[in-house]
Amino acid sequence: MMTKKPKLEAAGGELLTPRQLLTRAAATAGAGIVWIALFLVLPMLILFGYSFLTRDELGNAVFPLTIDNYVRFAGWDVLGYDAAYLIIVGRTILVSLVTTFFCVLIAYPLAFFIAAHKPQVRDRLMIFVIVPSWVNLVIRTYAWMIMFNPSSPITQLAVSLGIVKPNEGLYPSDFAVYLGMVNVFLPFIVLPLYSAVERIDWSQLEAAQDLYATKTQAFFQVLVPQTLPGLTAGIILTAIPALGMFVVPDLLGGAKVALIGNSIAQQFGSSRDYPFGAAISFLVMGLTLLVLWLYARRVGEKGMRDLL
Amino acid sequence: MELNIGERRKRVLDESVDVHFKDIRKSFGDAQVLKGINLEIRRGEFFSLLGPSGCGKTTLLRILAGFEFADSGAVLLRGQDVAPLAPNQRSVNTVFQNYALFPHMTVSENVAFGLKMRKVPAAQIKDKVMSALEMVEIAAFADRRPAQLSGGQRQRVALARAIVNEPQVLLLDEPLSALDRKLRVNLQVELMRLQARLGLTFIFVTHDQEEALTMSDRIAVMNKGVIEQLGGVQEMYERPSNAYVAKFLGSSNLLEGTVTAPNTVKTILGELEVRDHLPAVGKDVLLSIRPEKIQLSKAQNTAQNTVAVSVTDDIYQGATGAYRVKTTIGFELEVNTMNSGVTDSDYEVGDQLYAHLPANLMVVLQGNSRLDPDALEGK
Repeated sequence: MMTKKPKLEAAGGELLTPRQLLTRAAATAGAGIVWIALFLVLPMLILFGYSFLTRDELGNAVFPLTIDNYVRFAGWDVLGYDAAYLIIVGRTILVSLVTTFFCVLIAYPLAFFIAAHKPQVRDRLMIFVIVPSWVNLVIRTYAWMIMFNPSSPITQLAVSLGIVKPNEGLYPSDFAVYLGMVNVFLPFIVLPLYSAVERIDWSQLEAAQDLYATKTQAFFQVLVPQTLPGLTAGIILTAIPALGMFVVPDLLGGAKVALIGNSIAQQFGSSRDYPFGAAISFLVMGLTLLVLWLYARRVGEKGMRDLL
Repeated sequence: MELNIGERRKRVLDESVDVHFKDIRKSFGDAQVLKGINLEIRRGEFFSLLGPSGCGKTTLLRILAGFEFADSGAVLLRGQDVAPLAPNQRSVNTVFQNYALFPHMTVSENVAFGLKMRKVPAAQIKDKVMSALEMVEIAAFADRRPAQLSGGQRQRVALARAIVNEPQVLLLDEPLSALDRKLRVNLQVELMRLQARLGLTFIFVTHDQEEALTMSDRIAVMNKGVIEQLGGVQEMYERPSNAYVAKFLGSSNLLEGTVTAPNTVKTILGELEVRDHLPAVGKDVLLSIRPEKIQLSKAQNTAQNTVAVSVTDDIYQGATGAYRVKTTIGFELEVNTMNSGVTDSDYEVGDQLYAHLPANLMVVLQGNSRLDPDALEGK
């Protein structure tokens, strides 16, 4: 009779039994998995549980379990139907998309501009993109506020050009909000885009022209498609965090316009309504995951790996 | 029309000129890359620009393709000055050294690109792409992306992408240099067949003299921005015009000498009889003889043009044997033998032999009659 041998699998140039494979996987990835389980998955589960609780008069989360928080978000309240939160979500998505649009508009030529330089110069130029993002967000935002207040030279210039009325600042305004947002998110889109542009073999541009393409055709049909993975990564890295951004719109927008980030912060802060805050958080997260899932389905496993 | 390679050699070329370079000059900063190139390339010819890196051969090709502009001079493509034409308006296609395939497109999309840009109807594109892919035997990979192909397969795609456009002239910029030897030799044969079948003018840039000799109808040996010699393959090999060509195209033994009598040159090897056309008595000459034309033997068969030598290096190369032999006064000669097994050609280091330099196989070189190491290095 033949003895049954364990099935061997090739891994990193070695043949291993399934048990050995599992042991090694646990030794290498185990710590990471534990970390994520303790500090990401567990808190999320707690928060998810909260979203089904009820707020009592003192602001504590108590039983019974209910889906009222989600119903309330959809607009049905004790006072009747009011789509306030859906409008906030819509507005947040709009802000996120507009921010992303302007980031792409600036990042695209910037990435090509940087990639067109010699390697040493490129690195130096990239520093100008990256280093500002190391400055604390709140400090940066306050800096914009100072620059845009009614007495600043920049505002004075805007006044003399007739862009704003005298005695008004450039902030609070939508302009200030978008400027602040683009300032925050630009590096997130420039970096992946630049790394895509940098990898392009420029002789393809000559090859395209050799094959009867004009310079414009060569750019749009040969270069641009190759930047799409980087562009998509940049858009995702910008649009999703922009959904949750509340410091910049709050400070530069003058706290006049409610966005989803502010709303969540308010539930966990002044309103002391943890269950409702948790519900909003989960709905926004669900929305984000839905978009990512749709994207993943389109590009497949390899596309997602490129993205990461 | 399927030509075998022997027939291809014998085919008669059209006398009409496809490409005419007229006194092309080009500098990059202070460096003069092309110093007045005059060259006519005939229709249907397999023409090679051969030279070391930095000799200007690729620049010349890029000027024809439209990626560089000559400082002065003109390029005529079938009689038409191409100067006002952008690269995409010239009926030449290039096979790039690194292939420059579009990574985001499949093989067939790559090949279809040129046709699409010229707005060829979609139905025709499909047929043309398929037949181009079949011609280079890569049709089975039509739906793959370049990253999924081997170097040789990519090379075929690059070739298909160029020939599908039926250009007037096909430019090949060292297309085989990245491939391993076996594959390179196979592709050389295929390129020659393809060229004969399409009847297209090929301008092939290479630094590999063997490749140039194998494939070309004519070769221009370039060096430091000038053409050292231009001619048919056999002519170039048998009658190199100067020391640079004699050394670059194959290898040569060079001998300095002085004409002492008609048909006689006094050299370091003694008085040699030379049948080639010699200058007047008293003039200095430089002689060249190919290593395989020198005959080694253990016995002295003839006294004329024969010197006693001893073997200093014995390199076994399989089909051939390469020897270094030294005369009694220490002059070294390179000698190649054929491993035919018929003649006694297996010598060992230290063997005392006789080297015979046939009088009719020594070539008188033009240019400098002194052995100038700088000239040989191409300085």
